Amino acid sequence: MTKKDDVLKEFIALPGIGMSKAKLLYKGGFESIKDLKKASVEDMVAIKGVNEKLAKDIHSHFHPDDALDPVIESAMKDEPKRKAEDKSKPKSKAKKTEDKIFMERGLDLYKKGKWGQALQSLKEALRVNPTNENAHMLMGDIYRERGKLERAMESYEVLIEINPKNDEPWVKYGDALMALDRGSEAITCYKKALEINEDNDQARERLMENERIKTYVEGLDETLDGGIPARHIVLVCGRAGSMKSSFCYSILYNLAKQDKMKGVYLTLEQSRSSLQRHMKKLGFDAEGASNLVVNDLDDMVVIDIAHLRKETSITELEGIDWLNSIITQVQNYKKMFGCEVVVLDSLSALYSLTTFKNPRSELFFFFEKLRDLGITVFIITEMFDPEKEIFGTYGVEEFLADSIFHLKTEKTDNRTNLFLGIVKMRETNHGRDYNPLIVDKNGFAIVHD
Amino acid sequence: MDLETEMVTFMQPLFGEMADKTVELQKEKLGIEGKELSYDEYVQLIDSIRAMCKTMAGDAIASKIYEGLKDILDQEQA
Repeated sequence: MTKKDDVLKEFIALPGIGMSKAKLLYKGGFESIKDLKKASVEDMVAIKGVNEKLAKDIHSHFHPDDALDPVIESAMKDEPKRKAEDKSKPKSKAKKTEDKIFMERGLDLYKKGKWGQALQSLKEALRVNPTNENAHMLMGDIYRERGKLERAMESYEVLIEINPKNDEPWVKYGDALMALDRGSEAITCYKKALEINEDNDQARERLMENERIKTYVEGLDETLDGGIPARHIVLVCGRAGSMKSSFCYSILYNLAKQDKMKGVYLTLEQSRSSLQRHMKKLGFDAEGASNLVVNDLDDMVVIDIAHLRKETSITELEGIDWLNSIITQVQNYKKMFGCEVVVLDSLSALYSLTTFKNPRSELFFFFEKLRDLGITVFIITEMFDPEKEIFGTYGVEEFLADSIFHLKTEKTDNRTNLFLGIVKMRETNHGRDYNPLIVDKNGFAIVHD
Repeated sequence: MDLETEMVTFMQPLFGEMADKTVELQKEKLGIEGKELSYDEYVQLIDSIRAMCKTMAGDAIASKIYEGLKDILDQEQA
């Protein structure tokens, strides 16, 4: 663990400071607890993302005797007004001091690992002052650590109600939901935290970790926790005629149409015009969507590398390192179009252009470089052996990929039926069944028994 | 950077390592290879690259590539 990690750990033990605020303080020049102790409220408020309330809380944590109760502070500002006010005010001041004492005791017990007693003390603090945000937060954290997620969520809910502009409880509420396998609700919470505070790194990180790409295959996304984890490398495998290209094209088409997500379809085999004619017949054409111009820079681009190959003489092609060339090109498309999803059609065609010296090692680096691009990549792979279920020519592809879709054809009498199986999908609870896959003018759909 | 290197660099995002080969190939097709090109010959070359881009990646990208190459040529001319 680095010094920074140690310091951040110390910071988050302070009331009201989560990881994102701890990072902000560290980034703002407070590199130790000592630095924070010496800091004035003004010093802390000077950091973007640290509000006055938090700064005062931190300051009063280190200097309890100096801390001005908000009531006294406001009263000092307006003495004559104070005199005219209800005489119950000094009583309120006393109450606030009392809840702070309970809160600090609770914090102290929490640090010592005495959860039960800490909770009791926090409950006392809340009895005196039901709106003590730090007490609610710490209570939620303790419940969450103890695995009492529903109770933790109740504390965070109260906190959100008390101060709707506080982003921290949204992240923690989201974490509790995530632990309960309620991913989509958790994502809504992280988004809410970012809406309140766009500098909340924790919420941003959580969203990145849990982002999913929808397939828009009817009946499929709900079985995949909402879709494929973003930035996965997905193999789409099947024998000839198993609709691999159409399956991938439909995902890219729908992402462009429904989510305005930019995608690139890179064809190394079938020509662009032939692919588009075929897709038009399946209903994936520009006329199908008023806001979408497929093959325009705005949404989805189909690039025909096969055409380039045909135009160039074989001797000129020999010198090209195709694996690296594809990586560079995808990197360029990302810069040029801002693409988030790429389909590579197909790995088999790419292999036919490449002479491997050490396929396992070269493929390892190819997949790693693709992963480093930070985009979701669908790689279409032909399965040649009719008897065996091997998902890659060199036997390493299935280990290197994050997810594998298998499109399987089965002949019964005079009819060939299509099935979809999810062989592998990291970070996802998925079934192992092969479901019938149907395709019509409305697109792809899987049928559950 | 000379004119052709600049053109090839501009084409690389779409053409990758084949950008310079594409330029050479289009020059051969037009019969203008192995010599210094005039302004009109460059315009011909750019038109030919646009036609190829249209087949390869569609109208929108072809126009973008064409406009970029034309700008490079016009700046050089100026």
